[in-house]
Amino acid sequence: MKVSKKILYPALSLFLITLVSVILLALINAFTKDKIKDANRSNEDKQRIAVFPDAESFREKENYTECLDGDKNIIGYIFVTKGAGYSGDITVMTGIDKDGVISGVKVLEHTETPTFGGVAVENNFTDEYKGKEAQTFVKGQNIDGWTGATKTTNGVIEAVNLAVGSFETVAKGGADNG
Amino acid sequence: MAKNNFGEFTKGIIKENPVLVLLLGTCPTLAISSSALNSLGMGIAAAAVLICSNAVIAALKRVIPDSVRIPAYITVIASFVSIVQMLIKAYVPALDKSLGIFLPLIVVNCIILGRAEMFASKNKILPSILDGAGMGLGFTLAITFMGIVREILGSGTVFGFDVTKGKVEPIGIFAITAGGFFVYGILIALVNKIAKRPNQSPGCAACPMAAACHGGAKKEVE
Repeated sequence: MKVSKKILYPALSLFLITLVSVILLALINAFTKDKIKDANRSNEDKQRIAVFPDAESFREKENYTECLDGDKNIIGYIFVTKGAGYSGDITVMTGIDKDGVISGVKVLEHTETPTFGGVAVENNFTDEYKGKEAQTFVKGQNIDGWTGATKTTNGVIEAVNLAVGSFETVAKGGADNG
Repeated sequence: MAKNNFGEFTKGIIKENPVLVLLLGTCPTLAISSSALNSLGMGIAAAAVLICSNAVIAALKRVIPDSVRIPAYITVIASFVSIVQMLIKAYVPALDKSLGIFLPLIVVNCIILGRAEMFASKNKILPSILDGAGMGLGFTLAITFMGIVREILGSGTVFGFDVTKGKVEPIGIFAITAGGFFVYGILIALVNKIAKRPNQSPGCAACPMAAACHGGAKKEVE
């Protein structure tokens, strides 16, 4: 009697509480799952349109996204790459059209200091890439920095250069196949 | 009795404000309060969890054995946090993005476990809900006020609207956590002044939680 009271009862009550919690969570998960997926999806598409406004739809590939026009022809590519910023990685989305002109660059995620690197991101400092030819960017030569956000701009340049590198591989691969 | 219940609600706002007087939940307060809107979102999310967990824990207080009460409380709290997280992800994805890791970390917000242990485990359901609502409101007000102060000083905006932006150079340090400590310390001093708490702490009598913990004479487990 004593053992059952001291060990069995606490174990049983904890088990029941956990069981009820799990059932409740499973129900709510089933209820919100699709909604969360939709929210993430529309969010992704919105960002893709921001870096590649001409695209009608997108097709995800293994490590890049193809931008399609109304007739499903490939008109460009979107790459998501990372560069080292002042405090952690900066994730950057780069859109490059099939002729090798950058259609847009957008910072997706960063952990930079809000008042320095964060200000640069908010002011869309990445707009200066728009319309430039896809090439290896070097600060001071073919791209400007943002005052107060040296490391942040360096990180973005690193990420954009990675995207340009991927673009060259993908575009060349496409030509070989075609 | 009704008056008493009302007291349970109002005490969390100034007299026993969880952040500024009890000094609980400091981590989310400092981390999130760099902008007013995020602070408000964090406050409401934590208050919702607090009210629900207080209600359930008060309802189950006779069923939960003392020896496993902490894991039982954590299970209840973690479930509500997961529910809130899923709902926010589904319906307010922008808030989920700005709160980031601090949303699931509501689980370890000391205010919630603190109120479960200090209040809900010893009181009826209705007072516990009111206590949760009052404490939640106190937390929301404190963190939002900090958010407003830090956003004005650090970025020149309030809730994203320009206030002094462009007219006064923002003081960058207030947007980072170190600046949060400045604002936090000054706010605590201010609330102590308003609540007229004694400068020295002559033992338990000066503690705002004295009524709840009976001067450390709380019954021992086992």
